[in-house]
Amino acid sequence: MSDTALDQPIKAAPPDRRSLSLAMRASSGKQLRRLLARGNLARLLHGLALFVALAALAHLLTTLLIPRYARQDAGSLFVVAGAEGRADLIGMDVQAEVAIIDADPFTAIGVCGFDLNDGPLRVRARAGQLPLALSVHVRGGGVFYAVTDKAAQRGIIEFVVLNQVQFDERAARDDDGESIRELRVVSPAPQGIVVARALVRQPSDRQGAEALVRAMACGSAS
Amino acid sequence: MARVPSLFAPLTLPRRTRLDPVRPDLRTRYLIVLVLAALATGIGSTWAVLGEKPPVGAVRLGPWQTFPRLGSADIDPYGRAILARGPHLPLAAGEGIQLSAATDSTGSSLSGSCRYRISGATLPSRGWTLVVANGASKPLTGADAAGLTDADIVTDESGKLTITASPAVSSGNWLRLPKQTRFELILRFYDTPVSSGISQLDPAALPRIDKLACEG
Repeated sequence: MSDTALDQPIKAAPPDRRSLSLAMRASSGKQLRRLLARGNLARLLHGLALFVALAALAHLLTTLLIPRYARQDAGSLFVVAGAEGRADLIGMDVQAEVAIIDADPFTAIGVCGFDLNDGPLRVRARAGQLPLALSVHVRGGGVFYAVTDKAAQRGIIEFVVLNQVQFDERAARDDDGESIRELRVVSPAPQGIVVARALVRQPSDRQGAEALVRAMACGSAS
Repeated sequence: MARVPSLFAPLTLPRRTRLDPVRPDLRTRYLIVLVLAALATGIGSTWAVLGEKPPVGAVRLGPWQTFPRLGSADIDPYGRAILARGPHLPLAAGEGIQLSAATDSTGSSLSGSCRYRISGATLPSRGWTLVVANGASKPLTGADAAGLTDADIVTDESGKLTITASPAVSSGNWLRLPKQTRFELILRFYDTPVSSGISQLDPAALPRIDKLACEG
């Protein structure tokens, strides 16, 4: 058979640039018009509002839930510290591998964990020559009470950590007209830690500071 | 007139057809993608915001910055979430104040290739410490560990201090800096009476940080 025009494969003529550009512009214009049609625009805005609301809700919920499910915070890591009735020195007695992120290298820090489900906790520390402060941190992060050795009575800092129910029970047991001889601190959470921090102003203070924080006693106040 | 779609139009679940009983239609797919994208954005933004320092509640005093609510009972949710993500023991409000500086008094980032003069007044307290930390506010450790306390410093007659901070040894009060790296200074005052009113404090009550010279 002879080669005729019919035998040749059909080749589409390549579109010239100008017509392609016009076609695309017309198409995108049509799409834009379709998008901006009243119904679609309202749907788009509605979708956007839904997206923002859901994202904000997810942001808020994760921020609020992180403390609740935290297991790496100081309150969770050291909740069993001080089981012997004395504060454990961080870096020496407990969790030497756990470095406190914002610890001052010029301090000695001792911790006692507490679980108020087992009853109230009595904390007793001795004031010394070096600046000493006690603070109470809850599991999940947050400090709710602090006292320095300036508040020591006859060289002793002492307080009881309890929950609201335990506080009310104790208050009901108090005799009317009699002065209460203990400082009661109501904890907003059942678990947490008591931190004793002594300042080490000179290297020679280190041993004394460590002894001071280790001397903090934490025991049942039932 | 075009019909305005219902407010909950994208939430309307599709009817299953006999021919395609499980494959969700376009509207359902759009809704699933939207919800997943929103959740990812929300969780991702939480992760991005919870760095080393809270995104809100900062008090700036010259080059120094502090977050007084971090150590108090009225801590904000961001601060609490940051504390929950690692073993932090912030100074409690009645215990002292922690300030950090990542820039000098002109706002330039602190660098280990420069020499600085830290000078001026300090807050009344029972003791203070000045520690060199990395960019994430963690004190440098090992051979790079560096810091001073008020007991290490000689002050002038009015009680004001002048410290030279540099990688090379300097006469007078000297704070060793890590070479060639960015760093932060952490200044802590223990048992200070201004704990509660830190936001009203005059920046002149704290030391200035002035750049003296830089290498290269």
